[in-house]
Formats: sequence, C-alpha cells, structure tokens
Amino acid sequence: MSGNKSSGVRYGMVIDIDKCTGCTACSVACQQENNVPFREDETNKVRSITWMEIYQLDNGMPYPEYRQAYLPRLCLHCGASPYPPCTFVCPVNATHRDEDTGLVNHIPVRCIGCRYCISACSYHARYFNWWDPKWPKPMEEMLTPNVSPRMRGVVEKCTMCVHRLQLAKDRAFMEGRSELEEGEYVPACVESCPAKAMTFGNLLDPDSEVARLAKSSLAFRLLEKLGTEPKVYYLSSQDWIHKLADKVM
Amino acid sequence: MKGKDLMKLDRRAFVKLIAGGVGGTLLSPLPWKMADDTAIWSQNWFWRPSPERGGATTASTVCQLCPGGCGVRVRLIEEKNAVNIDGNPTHPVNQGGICPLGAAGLQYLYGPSRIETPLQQTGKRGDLETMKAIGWDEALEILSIKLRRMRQKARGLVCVSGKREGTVPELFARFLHAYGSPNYMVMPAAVDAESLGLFVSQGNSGAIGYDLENAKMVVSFGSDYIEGWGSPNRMMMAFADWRSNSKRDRTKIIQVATRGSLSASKADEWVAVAPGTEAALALGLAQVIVSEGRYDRTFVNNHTYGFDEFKRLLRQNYTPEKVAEITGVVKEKIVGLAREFAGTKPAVALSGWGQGRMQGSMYDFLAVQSLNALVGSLHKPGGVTRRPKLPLAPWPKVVLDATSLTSENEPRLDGSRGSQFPLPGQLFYNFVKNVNEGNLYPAEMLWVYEANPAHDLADVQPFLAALNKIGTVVSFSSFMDETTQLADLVLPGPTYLERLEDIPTPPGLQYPVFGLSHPILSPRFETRHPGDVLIALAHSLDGSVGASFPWSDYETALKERVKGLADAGRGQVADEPGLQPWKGGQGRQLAPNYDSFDDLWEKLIEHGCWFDTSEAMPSWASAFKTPSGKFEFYSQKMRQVGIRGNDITYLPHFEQVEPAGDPRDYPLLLMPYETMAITNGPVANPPFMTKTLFDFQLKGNDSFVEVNPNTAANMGLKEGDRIALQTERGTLKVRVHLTEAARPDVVFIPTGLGHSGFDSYIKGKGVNANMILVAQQDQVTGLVTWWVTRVKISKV
Repeated sequence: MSGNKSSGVRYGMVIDIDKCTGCTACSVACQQENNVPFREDETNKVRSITWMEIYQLDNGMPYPEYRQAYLPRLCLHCGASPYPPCTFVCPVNATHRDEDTGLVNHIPVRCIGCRYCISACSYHARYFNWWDPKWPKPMEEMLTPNVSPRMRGVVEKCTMCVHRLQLAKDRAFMEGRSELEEGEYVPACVESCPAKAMTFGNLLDPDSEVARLAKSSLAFRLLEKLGTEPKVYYLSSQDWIHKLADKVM
Repeated sequence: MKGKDLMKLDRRAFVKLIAGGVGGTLLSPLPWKMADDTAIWSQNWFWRPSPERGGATTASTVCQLCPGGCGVRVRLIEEKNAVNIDGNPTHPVNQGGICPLGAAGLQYLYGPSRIETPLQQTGKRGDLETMKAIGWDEALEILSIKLRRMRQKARGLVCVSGKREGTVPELFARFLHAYGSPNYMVMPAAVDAESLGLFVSQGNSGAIGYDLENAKMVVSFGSDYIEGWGSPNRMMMAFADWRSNSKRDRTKIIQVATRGSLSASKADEWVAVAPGTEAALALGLAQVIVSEGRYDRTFVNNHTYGFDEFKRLLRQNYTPEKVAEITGVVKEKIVGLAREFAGTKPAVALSGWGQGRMQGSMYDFLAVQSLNALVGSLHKPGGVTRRPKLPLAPWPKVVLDATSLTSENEPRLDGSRGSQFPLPGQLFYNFVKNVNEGNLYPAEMLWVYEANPAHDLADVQPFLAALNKIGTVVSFSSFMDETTQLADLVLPGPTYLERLEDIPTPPGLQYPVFGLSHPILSPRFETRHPGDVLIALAHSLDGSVGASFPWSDYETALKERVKGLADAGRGQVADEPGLQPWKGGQGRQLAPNYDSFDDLWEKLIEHGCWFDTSEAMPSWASAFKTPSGKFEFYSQKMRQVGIRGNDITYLPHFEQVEPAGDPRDYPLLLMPYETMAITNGPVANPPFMTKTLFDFQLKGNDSFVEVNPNTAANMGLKEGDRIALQTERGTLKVRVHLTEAARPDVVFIPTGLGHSGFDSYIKGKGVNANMILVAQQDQVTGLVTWWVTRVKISKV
C-alpha cells in the first residue's frame, strides 16, 4: 500500500455508477482543466487522448431486459507496493508515485516517449501524443496556465489535477494551516459532476466520505485480481456491473 | 616490440575498447542525462503553445447554452483570458454541477466560426464567398431602409426565436407588435403542447412546474429525465437525490419508453412500449385507477369537471386488454403499475418526449396530466403545479400607430388562433407549410434569433424550401451556423459570456429563479447586443415604433423590469452553497437579503441569480380558470374557442399517429434519439464533447444508427456495415451499431450531428437525422410529432 503512514494522506476516489447519468461532463471538464489537445477527427480511440474516458457497459440481456450504464475511467493511481506497474518500468523516472499523497504523477518533459508505461498499464489510462497539440487560432487564449501543454512524442495521463493540490496547499499555507480540510482539494471531474456521483478525498481519514464509501459493500475496483490496488473505487448495487469489473478493460 | 606494432590495433583490442567505452558510458550518468535533456529540449520548440500567465480571478454568471439556467463560474487570467468554466455552488438550480455543454462553453467564446462583424450577402444566398463584412452603421441603415419600405406590408415581418423567455425575446415580440406584425414565433418544443394542455384543462397560460425533489414515485412517459429533459442539471441532481442511499425510502422511477436509453436503464423499472404509444399506457393506468376506485375522490369529486365522460371513454377504449394491444405491455404489468402509482403518495407523471424538443400531441400531455389529476397530485407538494411567475415590473404599453393598429387583427402566418387551429398555439411548422403553399400573405422578412432552424428543425427540408420564398433573412447569430449561412444580413450578437441578459425560471421548476448573465470579459469582436440593435432600429423608424422603445439601451430596459424584483419584498440573491428552495414547505417566502434596487443589481452581477422558495399551492378557487372553475377532463375551453368535434375531441385520448410512408416500401420504423453527449441547441457540438462520443456513435465522418441484433441478422447486417436509410423525405448514409437497446424492427438515429456550418472541427461529422424525419401535424391543435417515420434499409 502506498501512502506514507506518517503523512496520513492517500487520495482516492469513489464513483457511484448507479448515480452516474452518463452525461460526460467529467470528461469535458477534465479536458478543459488540463489543456488536453483535440483534433478535427478524434474517432480513432487508440490515438485519441481522454484522461477521463467513458466506457459503456451493458448487462448482455436481450430487449427489453437490456440495461446499460456508463463507467468513467481515469488513471486509478494504483497503490500496489512497492511500485505501480507504470512507474516501475519508466527508464527515465518521468513518472513516479508521490508517497505522501499516493498520487501517481507524470512529468511530460522528462518523458522520452518509449511508451513502456502504456504497455504496463492494465487500464489503458495512459496516452501518447502522436501529434503536436494545435489549437485553432483564438483557442490558445483559453489554455490554462496551471498545466503545460504536452508536445508530440510524450505520454500523458490523469494527474488527479495535482496542480489543484498545490494551489490548495499554497492557500492553506497563506492562512497559516498545515493541513487541508476535506473538499479543499478536488479534481475538476469530481467538481463538475451534476449528479454528485463522484467523491474524492483522503482514504486514510476514517471520517472522510470517500473512506466510508470505499468500505461500502457496494464497492469494487477494476481488475482487482491483478493486485494493482487501484485507489479509484466504484459503487453499484447491480450484480451485472460487479461482474464486469474484471472484463471491461 | 616495434614502434609500428604499438600503433596496430588488433580485433581483440578494438572490441575491448568499444565494450569498455560502452560500459563506461553506461556507468556514467551521461546517457541518462542526455536522454532527459533531449526530451526536455525537444519539447520546447518555439511553436509550443504557451498559456498566458497571470493572476486568476473568478466571475459568476448564468449559462445560456440551453434553457436550463445554471449558474456558472468562469476563471479568468488577468481578467481577460477565460480559461475554465465550472458550476456555481451557490446557484440553487445546479449546485455546482455542470453539464458537458456548459463545461465546454469556452469553445464557443473562442470558436473559430464566430462572426466578427456584420455581414451582407452580396451574391447568391448561401455563398460564403460573397458574404461581405460591413460596418454596424451600414448594416443598421440597410435594415432600417428595408423596414421603412415594407411598413405597409408590416405583417410580412416574421421573427423566430429559439429562446422563449426573458427580456430579449420580449423585445423582439414588442418590436413586431409596434411595427405591425402578428408573426412573432418561437422554435417548436414540448412546452407548446404543455401550454395548450394547461389552457384547455386548467384555463391557465404558462408552463408547468414539477415538485420532483419531493416526489416518492416518478413515472416518465417518454421523457429522458436524465438525458436533457427539463433543466438538465436540476434533473440529474434530483435523480442523484432519488438514488441517495441515505434516504430511507428511495423514490421509485419508472421509465416508459421505446429505447433502452440511460434514462430507461437507470430507472427502477423500464416499461418498453411500442413506438409513440406512451400516452396510451397513461390512459391504461387511468382506467385501472378509475375502475378499481383508487383515485383521489375528494379532488375528483370537488374540483374536476367531466369525470363521468372521461370514465366512460376509459372504460370503452382503454381497458388493460386494449392498451396491452396498443403498447405491447402485458396486462398484468399495466394493472400493477396503476396500483402502485395510485398507492404511492406523492406520485407524479412526467410528459414531454425525449429532451422536450418535440412539440408532441396536446392529447398525449392531457393523458399524462389526467393521471396526475386522478391521483390528486395536482397542485400538491411532490406533485405537479404551475411554474411560478416572476414579480418583474411591466414595461409601458406598446404604442400603436395606424399601421400597427390595423395589423392587430391580421391572421398569423402560422395559422394559430385562426379558423383551422383556434387554440393560441405556436405553430412554426404550419408557418413553413403556409409559406410553401403560398397561403395567407407573403413572408417578406425573417429574423432568426438564438435558433438554427436550418439544421435543428426536425423534418427540415420543407423549411429550407420555404426560405427560398422569404424575401430577406436576417440572422442575429454569433456563429456561422446553417441558418446564418443562408441569411442575407447578419447582425452578430455577443456570446453569452459577453452579454447582459436575464434568464427567467428554467422549464419544469417549482420555485422562481431569475438569473442574470453579464459580460465577464469585453466583447471579442464587433458584435452588438440584439437588444441594443432593436432599440436603435426602432428609433430609426417612422411612426410610433420608436415610442414603444423609450430606453436608450438594453441595460436600461432590463433594469426597468428588474425593479419589480426589488419592489416585491421577497426572495434572495443566492449567495451561499447548498440552497434548497424546494424544501421546508411551500409558500414560506424568503426575506430579501438586499436593501435597494442598486444593491440587488450589484449582488445579481456578483452572484448570478435571485430566487425564492416554492410558491404556495394555489387555492382551489383560484387554481383553475376554466368555465367550470375546475380541472376539466372534458374541456369546455376547447368548445369555447370554437373547436368542433365529437365528445372524444374534448377529452384526453390517444391518437395513433400512422408513421409516414407505405409499410410495403418502408418496412422498418425510424426513431430519433437524443443524448447528453450531443447538443441539440442552436449551437453545434463543441470539439470537447464530440471527443467523448463512442466510436460506435461516430467513426471518421460516419455516424451510426442503432439496430437490434435480431433485426440486423434478418437483414444480413453486421456491426459497422454501411447502409442507406431511406424515408419518404430522402436518403442518408450511415453505419450500423448492433445493440439490444434498440427495439426489434426500429432503427434509432442520434440527432444533433451532421452540421454543414461552423468550422472544420464541427462540420461534416455524421448525418443530420432531421433531413429524413417526417413531421406529422395534429389536425385539432396544429402541433407536430416526428418521433416515428417509416424507413427502408439497404446495404451499400
């Protein structure tokens, strides 16, 4: 398990699939927050970059017993010890896990584009920049200065909006606090969710909502059998959704 | 050893040297440092986009990309570059949540297809090469001269607004009234059936409010309640609340629909019905509730009219057996559902198909609402009531001169309130029909505001034909959409983030909200607020048109109305998170948290909206303005306005709409479907949202239709096959996606794709379903439905 016990912080997320309405706002909010580039044709999903990707699940039953659900999948920030699969293989230390927060980060400018981490990740959560990012003329003005755009030839992935953590810490420091309160640092996807289906927080804080939900009997994780110890949990009361946990990826 | 030998490098030494060199280098940090440096260096090309740095501030405003009326916060860098939009937690409608469209809003502000100056078409309509940029003075002069010249034919001025409420649409309507035209129209929507239905059954104009947050059971008759129906974020929030695990008794959701959408999948129960038969099921439930005596006797006996006639009709035509035949739902299910609906209090039935963009049948609305009436959910907490009116101050009366006075009695070009359709409906489709057939009088000029009918109107082809018969087309759009491409004159307005405008209570809400959007950054281009344009135009005209616009600019006009809020002595500016105006009992009005108009205005600019708690339910004496003073199952109002027919005409009933096309030529049915990931508004899908589409919805430039695997097998179709979809209107080429969400023998096509306007990130993606849908008109109300069309599939 990652997360230095002394820091007492291990960020994680719980996504309630029963509440998710499949609106895709999380994915859009993520693209906006992180300067994720887009091209005219984004329908080749192997090459399209979507840190928060939406999967469609269905129960495999015929009409009208058919039911569908959407599963938003971000980087699961694996807690496997001693390393998550992706950081273990990086030859240039471009990605590593911050043991104080449990967040798996990725430093694009260090990345040499070998894509070893992409093959190591069991969740398809990492993406390669096949092209230089290009925004149509005035759209460069809407790039946020908090996240650098990535150039061709490097890998990128969800950072849990770690820049928001920095900002929150700065604010806390200015106010003379050393600890963040619950809800002070929240990634863009969680903040956007209109159905409040996503919860984010410190899994080690027993009083936090996220810790409570992660222990729920409805909780499951993707490909749990691999021992990657994802820190993103899903909730569902539907058996068929639980059964897909190991098959969806 | 000879000196010569010293210099000699034998093979062994050479290999040693190389191996030693490689080993040595690898042991040094050099290669790793070099790889790292190269990586860094090669990512810092001069063309690397560098976001501008600077201090971040946040401005609150209200989103206007759909009528949902959500509060948004925009993050600005150095108060000029907008870099992020998220939900405003203090806004009661969305409580910090945001939909994908709202989150992608900056792609409109910075969209490459924005119109930068007024444009005049100097060549053939539709030719973008001959669209000439002109100055505002010249543009207004051109329009002003035209309007002065056609004043004697003033009735020929037609305006269609995509926005229904607020002061800007009111100014458009006011301009037409003062100028002398009865032809102010709005884009068709389910609200049209809703307001006619309210008018004939309750005698009220206006719209409906659902107290969904307090309901214990919700039955949705075809409404995609989490996929864009009503105010989308409010609905998703309500859904999350219904699904809340902490709630002791969860609200039960039943979705009555043909397609296995997310709304169907997320409901507690999905009742799959034959296409277009949702209302028949509603009447089936009504029959069970009435025949088993499970209705609310107090309400029905005291406050309804025509119950016996309704009861007779139900017994005759809507027994569970008959309804089972129409809808394909088994009898036991109908009976069970009816008992549950009558036994759960409060329970509410929703109407308005899909996202509510289709007018639909007024009778379908009446069928569903009669169900609400039967179980006593009318004007009750947790049930259905009217949407509250805002206490805005009225503007002075329109000043009429000789020209505008004579036109007061002119028939409308859409035939509403005429001899064929005497009800006060909004009949845009009928307008299109009248123009194409040359009925009544010619449409001299068409104004289009916040609408893109050339793409968005289902069954769009007749409209495109009608455009050729309209003298001048003026667009007020900010974008080069399909309608604007066909305009003769373009007077571009600023986008919602650059303009002042009010956003009144969103559709379906039970409490009053007044949103105010304001420019959070200075306009990027030479755009002008449509309100200001109208005021300037009015002042440039002869007669009394100018006198009806006694304001110097739009802001003054808007403030005059908002003064009413300040004087109402109730309601608050929403300035703290977690407000829940639907809780804590109806009619408990809030004390104002502002002390003057100026204070209110300042706070509105800062926080975005004024709201109050749910209004008190109307007293039974004032609730119904019908001839009987009661809720009328049997509508006397319809009789009053001159609708002739047999008893059934005046009662809620179900009319099977026969889909257009001969079943022998077109063996399958085609139904459109809507999703949150593709917008259907006047603006096209932004690149952020298009990116989230699955590759079985859009692949390259091909869009997909959903077909049931069994149907596909019968026709020899496999996943991804290219097919031609042919209806009476024409043919579209698409690909096939097999899914059990699709009812056998029904083909489902997404709407909102297939743009030909806008920019290269938007246009050419998929096909526009509206090109081949056929709209069908109801002969009593003139409203249209377009949910089912007959179709033929052939492999290409």
